[in-house]
Amino acid sequence: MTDRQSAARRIFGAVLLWHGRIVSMLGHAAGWAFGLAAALICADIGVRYFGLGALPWVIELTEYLMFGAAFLGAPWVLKHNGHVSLDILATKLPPGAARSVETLAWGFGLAASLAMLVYGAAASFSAWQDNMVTVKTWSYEEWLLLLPIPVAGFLMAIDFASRFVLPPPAGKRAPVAMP
Amino acid sequence: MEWYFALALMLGAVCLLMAIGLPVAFSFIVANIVGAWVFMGGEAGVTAVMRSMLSGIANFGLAPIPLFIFMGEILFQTGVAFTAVNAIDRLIARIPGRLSLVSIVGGTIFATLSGSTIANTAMLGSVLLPEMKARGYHSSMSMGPIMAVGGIAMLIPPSALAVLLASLAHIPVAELLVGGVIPGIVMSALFVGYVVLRCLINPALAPSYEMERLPFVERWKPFVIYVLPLSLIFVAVLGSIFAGIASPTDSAALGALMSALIAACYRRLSWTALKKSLLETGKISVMILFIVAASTSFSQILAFSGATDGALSSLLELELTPLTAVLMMVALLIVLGCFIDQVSMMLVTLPFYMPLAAALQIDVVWLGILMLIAIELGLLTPPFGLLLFVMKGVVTTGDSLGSIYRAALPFVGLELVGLALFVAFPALVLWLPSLL
Repeated sequence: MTDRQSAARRIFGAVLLWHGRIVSMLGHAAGWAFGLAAALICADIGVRYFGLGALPWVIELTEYLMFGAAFLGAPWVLKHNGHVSLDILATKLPPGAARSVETLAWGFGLAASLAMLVYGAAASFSAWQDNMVTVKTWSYEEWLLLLPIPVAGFLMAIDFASRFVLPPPAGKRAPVAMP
Repeated sequence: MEWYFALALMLGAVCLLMAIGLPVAFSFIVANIVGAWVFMGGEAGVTAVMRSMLSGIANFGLAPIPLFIFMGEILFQTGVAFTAVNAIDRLIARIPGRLSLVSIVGGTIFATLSGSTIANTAMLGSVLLPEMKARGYHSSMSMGPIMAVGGIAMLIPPSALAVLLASLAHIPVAELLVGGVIPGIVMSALFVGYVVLRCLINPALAPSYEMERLPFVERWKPFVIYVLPLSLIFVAVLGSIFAGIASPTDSAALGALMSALIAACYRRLSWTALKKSLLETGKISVMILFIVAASTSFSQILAFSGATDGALSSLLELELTPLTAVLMMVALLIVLGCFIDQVSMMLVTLPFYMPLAAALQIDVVWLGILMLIAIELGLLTPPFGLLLFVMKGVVTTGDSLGSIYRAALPFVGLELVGLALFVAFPALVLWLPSLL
């Protein structure tokens, strides 16, 4: 292995290490975001029930928590192979062909993630340029609300790209937990 | 472009991508990008797809999904659900197929507390299956009832997938949730009847055994302590909706709070259990909501391309009666259920089903419940029924996937009987929602 190759490998390893840490942190935050949403809705019900007014901002905060959690938690779920997928072809094909089909799927996954990065960033940038604001109980800069899309796209693109360099072991996936 | 080419492009892309193993959410994203590029003016259309992802899930109506999942996870991770099943175990005695009946009754009760089919199946499988095997129960009387009753969690509220269906199909959430109660109980009764009958005809399927004779108090005390208080959760969820004091989202939050409080009262709510519950809730909820976000534009692009209108006109030209249309819709879902997952089934079919239902004036709550049952059947039908694989993961005796398929088949038949019953007698579904 040349010096350049070994340097590239070190850099790649460091990128994956940090990617793993960030993705795991965001995944845990997504779980807690749902807990926070539950607590906020209960607080709102309590406040209303005891005639202390209402917390009208709870609705939109819950909505944005769900959006943020879904997008920022998606790379963590991807890393744990938790996004539901079918293995109709993979189980019927011989191992070599199954691996080729799987690689093709990674390619499409990478393309989708890059599209989220590029077009999500474009949507966010144009919202920033046009000073777009979402006004409900509170007002939010729309570019901030759209930001989780390119961030998720970026993190998932790294995940899919890494599969080409360090392919995970071939084999049948465990069934994904659908409620 | 002709509508059928647009339809073939969009549906073909999604199906092909899913078939090669690309996760469902990413399959929809790729298809949407292609569709937006072709039908919605290139880059501007793709940027619009990104924006619609925000509006797709920043929707308060979807909040019950994580909350219902959290409810079940709390009871599952703290072990409260396991204790409840053990308490029910003491109550049922000297009946043919005793342990099978414990699984059906316990599973139905847990279905009223959790919206998770997988948690239901995994819990019952791990608690009851070893004893069933040790007592020589035939697989159709051990694994079969556990998988079947596991699927009922999708029908009996709280059900995360019912909320998702209601939200995607614009069906009133409260009515759909309440509408699942009677069908869930009827299904459960069908399972009980089948087990008792089969065991009477052929006792070898579930050999009887001597049970320790417990005094009345010892039999009922665990039920009063560990099962009855759990009914507070069901009351918090459905009672608050019925009383008109809470929206479905409020009731889901109350249910989650009640689950946590009950687990805390039993001194089971540890920090570790809470953390694990939240993480599992996060994992499943993120997976579902990300699919919803990814697929938001799908129906919009189908409509924009003219595919929805074209397909709808062609269907209406067939001059279908509402009943024929419903039967066709349900049959298609059952076939799809053999190959694709529950959320994808909804996403692929709803853009066509709901306009058709509106055109033929089909009651959407009734249709929604029939769809849920048909989708639930997909959890049990080979080759890709999810609960079949969950069961495979739970059994420790090395049963083949083939024997698990065979164990599920009688219950698939029973669910079809139930489905026929609800098609023939819509009042069974619509009576409770009409009281709201």
